[in-house]
Amino acid sequence: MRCRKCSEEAVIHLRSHRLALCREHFFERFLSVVKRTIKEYRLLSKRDRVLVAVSGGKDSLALWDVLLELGYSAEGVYIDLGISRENYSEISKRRALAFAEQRGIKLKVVDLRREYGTTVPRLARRSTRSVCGVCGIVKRHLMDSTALEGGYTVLATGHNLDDEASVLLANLLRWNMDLLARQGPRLEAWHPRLVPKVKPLCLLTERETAAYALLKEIEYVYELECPYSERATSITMKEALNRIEERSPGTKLYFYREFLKHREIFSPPEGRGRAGECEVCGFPTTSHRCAFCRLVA
Amino acid sequence: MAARVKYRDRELKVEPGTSVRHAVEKLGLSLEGVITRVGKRLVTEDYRLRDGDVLEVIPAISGG
Repeated sequence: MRCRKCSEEAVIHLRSHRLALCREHFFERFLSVVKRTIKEYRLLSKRDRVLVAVSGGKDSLALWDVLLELGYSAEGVYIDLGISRENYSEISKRRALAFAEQRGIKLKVVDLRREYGTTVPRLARRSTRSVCGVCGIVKRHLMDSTALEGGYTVLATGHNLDDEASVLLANLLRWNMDLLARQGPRLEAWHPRLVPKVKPLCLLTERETAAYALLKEIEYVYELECPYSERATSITMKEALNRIEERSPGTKLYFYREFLKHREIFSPPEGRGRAGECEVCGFPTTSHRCAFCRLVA
Repeated sequence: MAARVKYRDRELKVEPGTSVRHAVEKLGLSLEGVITRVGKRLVTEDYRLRDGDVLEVIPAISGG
């Protein structure tokens, strides 16, 4: 297959766009989609101090790489969740640190075991929530507090089109109006202790972010998957969407983009304006203590 | 005379001339969820494997 732009041998075929591209033109397109997404949804400005949430996977490292390439001031945070099965957290941390070291940029490591004397699997064992549920609470809190303490103006995550389309599908299947109203490329800071959260890769598929990372020779964790994600709902949703995509290329992008055009029909969540502050950490909560402080207590 | 296809801890042998599309289907995977490469070169689904080629099928889907 040949690159549509220059006739060199193609490295990727984007069936949803009927587009085969060589290495050079794939990079050109990737950067251009990120730039357009940032502009269209007003995600970042060059004055921002960006904190990138880094997991050691393809999406977050590709995001960090592309933001640096586009000239943004971007530092990283890695949260060590203490997942020892398959040495998952340790390997992921090493990849994230190696990436930062090679480029001479700052990566802050927040170690759950060192700072709170626990791990995500241990917290999940004494909680009624799933491991993924607990992990989400821990990551959100530690990312928010790192952004606040470090004086960053925005938190960027590597969510891609597959992540967004699969969450959208899951939320629609349950008609979860609160979550539907909140989903989008930019989540505004609705409390003084929070910073806005943005998703500059949300219009690029997982295949594209994986291809970008591989072609850029970014050493990400691709040989391992989080040992707790095997039965994750998100993977079931992604596989279902990929089956549809095979039959009808472009469906994922259309599904998500059209949602963004019409999402005002989902009413904004109520009660956020009335949220109080956690008596331990000061972050917003509707209870005396936030979900994170209740977990680690 | 054969080419090899590797996916996580699975490995299979295929005839030279087999297309990447066919090899991925043989693994029961969707082309939408994987990246394929031979050596350091990413290849598209129409690439035909040559004798001695090792096709690496890299999953693109992750949970979380």
